[in-house]
Amino acid sequence: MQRAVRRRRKADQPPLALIYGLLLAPAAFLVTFNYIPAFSALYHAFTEWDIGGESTWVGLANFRALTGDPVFHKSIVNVAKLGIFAFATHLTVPFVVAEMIFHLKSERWRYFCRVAVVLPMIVPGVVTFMLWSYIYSDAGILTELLVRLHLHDWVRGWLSDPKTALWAVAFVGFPFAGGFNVLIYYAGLTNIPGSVLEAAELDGLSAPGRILRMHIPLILQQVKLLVVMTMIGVVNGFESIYILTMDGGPGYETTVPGLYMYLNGFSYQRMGLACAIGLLMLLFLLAFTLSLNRFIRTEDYEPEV
Amino acid sequence: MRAASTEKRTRQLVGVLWRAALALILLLTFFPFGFMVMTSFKDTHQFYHTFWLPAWPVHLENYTGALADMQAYIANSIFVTAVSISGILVFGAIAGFLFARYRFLGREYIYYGMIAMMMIPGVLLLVPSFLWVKQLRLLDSYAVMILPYISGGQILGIYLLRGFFSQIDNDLFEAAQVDGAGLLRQLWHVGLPLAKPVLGVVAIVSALSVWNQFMWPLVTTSSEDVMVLTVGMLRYNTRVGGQYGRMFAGYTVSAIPLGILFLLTTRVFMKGITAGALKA
Repeated sequence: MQRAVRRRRKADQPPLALIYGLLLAPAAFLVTFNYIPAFSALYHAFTEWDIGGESTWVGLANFRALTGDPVFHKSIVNVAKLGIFAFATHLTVPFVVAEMIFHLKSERWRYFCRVAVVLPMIVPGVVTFMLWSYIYSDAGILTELLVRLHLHDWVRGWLSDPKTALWAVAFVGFPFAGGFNVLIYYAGLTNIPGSVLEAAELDGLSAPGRILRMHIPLILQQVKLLVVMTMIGVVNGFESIYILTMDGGPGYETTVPGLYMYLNGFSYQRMGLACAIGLLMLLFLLAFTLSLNRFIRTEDYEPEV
Repeated sequence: MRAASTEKRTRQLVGVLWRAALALILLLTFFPFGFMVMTSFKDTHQFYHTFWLPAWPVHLENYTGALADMQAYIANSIFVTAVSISGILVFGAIAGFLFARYRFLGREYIYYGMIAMMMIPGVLLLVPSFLWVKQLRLLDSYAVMILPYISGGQILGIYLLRGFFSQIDNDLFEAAQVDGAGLLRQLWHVGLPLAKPVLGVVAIVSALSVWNQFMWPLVTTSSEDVMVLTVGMLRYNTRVGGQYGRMFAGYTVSAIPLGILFLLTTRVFMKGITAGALKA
């Protein structure tokens, strides 16, 4: 088979000019809209850059400014808190939901439940955040619910009170049964060979034992994927905060590095500093992904298409 | 005997609790969206006085108002998404086919040079990309959205389609070749019909990603002529401030286009969601 392929490739080879010509358009797009901005970011992280496009080389000054910048420090503390919370919720609840669906007896119900967890994704992400912004508002569901329960003392401006603002941001999407995560876990569970599952049942492993000792080790690949995806989502995600609090307020209670990058670029006209923040975020994500790949070795995730 | 039956009973009980918990989580997930749809039929008086329950009569004018305000945004979003997907599919199919079937100098370098860009999240390049397209005089146009979306979106298409085409038996292309079909006709008549499921997945992944773009169009477009739905929703929000029924009607309308897509392509849609994981 291999040899046959190779033999005929020679005969079948179209002119090289045609091949390179056809690749020109995709490559030109990538260079223009991906490579140039990437190298521009790398270079301008070491410059002072104003909106007119004038830039002067300042060496490490941007990074030095960031090490001494209390707002940047605060933003890192905030994103770390959000990250810990996201790992504790967005990784666990979907696993439990996937297990629940996996244990349903009827295939129809399993399919129905999978469709159901995906359904909220038809609402644009931005609109979902607006909906949560409403939930936390003075006429919102949360306030009405507390009034109903005669807990008037608890009512507050959830997004304007410094004590609760970051929590309010973290709780967006409650109960965290995100369709994407559930489907990834579920795909992992269905990939476990039936014979392995039967053997465990015959060995008399109880249901919790099966889940802890068998399912989790066998879906490590999916867990790793979701750990990386969650980390990327937390580090890069500031859309929700932009919608909920606009400027990372009150004070800097909900400022995260991504939002601080955006504000530096588009509100404070410090484009060079914004590039430096973006670069630090990228380096952090690359380091995280690479070290995770070193510590947990699994095969690469391949989607079923 | 009795031990066996109590064990059976606890098992049943656990099963029921398990299902009840699942139902509860699904209910909580849907609650905000259900509330949104319910309230979208109310006027402001009904909103304040029957907060938790549906109210009669229903106010369909919320929807006519929302549609009138949002139809231009929706049309722009559909246009940008459709053109972007077409570009992604064309580039993905051609490049994926070439990388899979032919050998040429620098093939692997070019391929990995393209794939490598998947590692860099676009949002981190927001500022330099903005200044660059400003320099290119692309601001406030359809092109400022479509061109970068094609550029970034094609990567996943190239990756998936190269994988797919390299698994196809070469004999299938042979017949076409004997008939004198060149590279492009082989791709068109043999490759693409076989690749339909993969093309579908790529289309869905791209549609979801392009449709939900927010930060990029927010900073690069400002005129209503080209404004897409996600950014337009911000203006809509201020316009209807305080009229909750109208506001929620707008939110509900914003879900309709993807809702239709979901209804038409449920299975492919669900596959597309997990395939999007490769973007990581």
